[in-house]
Amino acid sequence: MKRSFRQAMAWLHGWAGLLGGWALFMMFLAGTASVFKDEITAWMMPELPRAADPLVALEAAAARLGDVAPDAERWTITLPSERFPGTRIAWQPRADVTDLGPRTRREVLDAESGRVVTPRETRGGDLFYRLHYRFEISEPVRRGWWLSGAATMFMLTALATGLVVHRRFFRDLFTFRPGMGRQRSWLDAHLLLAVSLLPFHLAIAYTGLVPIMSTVMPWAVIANYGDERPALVQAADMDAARSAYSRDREDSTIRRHRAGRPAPLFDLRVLAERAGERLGGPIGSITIRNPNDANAVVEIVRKPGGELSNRPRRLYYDGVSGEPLAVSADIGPVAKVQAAMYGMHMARFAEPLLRWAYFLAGLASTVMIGAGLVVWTLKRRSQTERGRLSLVERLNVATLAGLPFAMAAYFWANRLLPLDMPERAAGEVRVFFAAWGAVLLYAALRPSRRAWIETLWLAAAAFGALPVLNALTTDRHLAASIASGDWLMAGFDLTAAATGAAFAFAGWRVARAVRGAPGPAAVHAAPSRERVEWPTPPS
Amino acid sequence: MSRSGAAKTRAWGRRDIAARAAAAVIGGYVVAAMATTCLAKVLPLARSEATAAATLLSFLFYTAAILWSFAAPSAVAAWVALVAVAGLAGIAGALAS
Repeated sequence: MKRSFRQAMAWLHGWAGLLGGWALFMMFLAGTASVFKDEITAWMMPELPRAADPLVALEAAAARLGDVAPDAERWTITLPSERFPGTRIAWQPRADVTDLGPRTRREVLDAESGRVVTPRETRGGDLFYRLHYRFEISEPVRRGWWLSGAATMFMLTALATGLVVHRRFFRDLFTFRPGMGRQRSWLDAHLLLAVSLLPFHLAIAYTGLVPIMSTVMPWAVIANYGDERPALVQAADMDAARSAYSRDREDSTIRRHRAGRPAPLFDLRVLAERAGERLGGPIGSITIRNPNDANAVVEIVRKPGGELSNRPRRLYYDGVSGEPLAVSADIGPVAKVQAAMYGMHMARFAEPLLRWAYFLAGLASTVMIGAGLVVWTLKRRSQTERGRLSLVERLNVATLAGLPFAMAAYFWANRLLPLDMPERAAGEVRVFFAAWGAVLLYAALRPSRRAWIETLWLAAAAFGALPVLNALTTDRHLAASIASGDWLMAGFDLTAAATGAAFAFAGWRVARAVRGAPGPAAVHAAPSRERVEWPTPPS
Repeated sequence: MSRSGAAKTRAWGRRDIAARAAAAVIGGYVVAAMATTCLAKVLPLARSEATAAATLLSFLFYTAAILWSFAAPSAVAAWVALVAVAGLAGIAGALAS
């Protein structure tokens, strides 16, 4: 009945990796794309003008908000940056002056003129972000958080068991043997990526739980801030406990009630200049509560960068007199650790070089998961489980090659759907899911080796041709972007081309491997330095 | 690839696997929830700090419980230990409040 600890962990690694693998591949790929969420959105809005001086943008934005929402509850101005060239404004109407409720309105402005720009309707990089952390489930939002939390537990389980199984990982690190038989090279790729970036995989998985933790693990909040009802009952309705908790930790947000007496707003540009000096860095966004009221408060937030916390430093000013408002003391050490973990996961602070490092590390995690899924099928190819194996292989094709293809299709839809199409943004998302579903159907009907090769080539073509499509459908083609130093547009085009090349390489390698495929017997006869005993799945 | 590994695997029947998986997913979550509740009350920190610390640590307990569910000598042993740990944490948390 007994088996060794390592055998048990190897078994768990295989099954946790398989069952969580497809969801995790999607979460990691979408999360990796989300590292460039703003940049992707900017590419998908080619109507946006080039960036301008943030202080000029601020004045223009304040003028626009003064016109359109003079008595709003709150204004938010996100200044243009090298990641997104437009000024983004949002305002929350006062609940008592509109029948529509306090729904936030948003606009994008030309940074320099303050003119409202109406770029094509698109969800942009936000689609990948929503896919990443809540599986694109919007109602009820918490269901998506539970799903991503569960998938993360599969990841932590796979990482912990993988550590046990491959504890001699420094030797494994130097055993990449491409061409030594397909199973070996996929396994080696899986190990190499897993071991060399192990701290990243562990940290990104664990910190990913921080943003959703009071939803998926609410018991500490209930224990310390709940009421007399049984904990399980409270878990279903814990808004009171949650807000008591956040009031208890809220150190520095200054809120004032509207006075009801109109008063002119202090010059925001002057405040921004003062705050910039005190914060020691550029300003990212500005929030004005109770604008044009005697109790107006201006909150000026430093641009993320230079600090890990997900809550960049900020200053508060009286919105009428312009006097700085005192902020209470520091948050506690645990809250700081939590903010740092949150910030580390979100990577909003990352300047270009570090942002690229995040992107590449995320890709490495994604490929590690994909290679692990392939290893699962190759290990079992010789065994007599055609039915289950074929299901796994088809799901692998649809996920590993189909999801990237669907992402490319989403970008194609952005350039090709008519600009005046009703519900255009939703249309783009439908193209994404339709492309994904089509690959799934195709993989179900085609022999899996053919489906692999063809879908990889399809993804290669779809990504590789994106710069061409961009050149044909906009005036912001690659040569023009490079010539004018527009690295936002050029960066996307070049990344798409590189992605296409990577898929072409993958398609070529798989095609070559299939042509010269050794039979199952040959795979087994190949010299194996495998030290781990990989049990078969239960029958 | 070893034959002995494959032979031993068959010793884990479907029922055994189902019992261990339930221990991992459900039992592990209950252990994590109980340990978190207990820590949130007993950690010598400010209330909000203890709450955050306990919640941050909870996923470590969950992961450990999942591994234990499959490392335990039998499914029964897996369940017994998880129930014991959850019970102790629950009692400690109740006494602390």
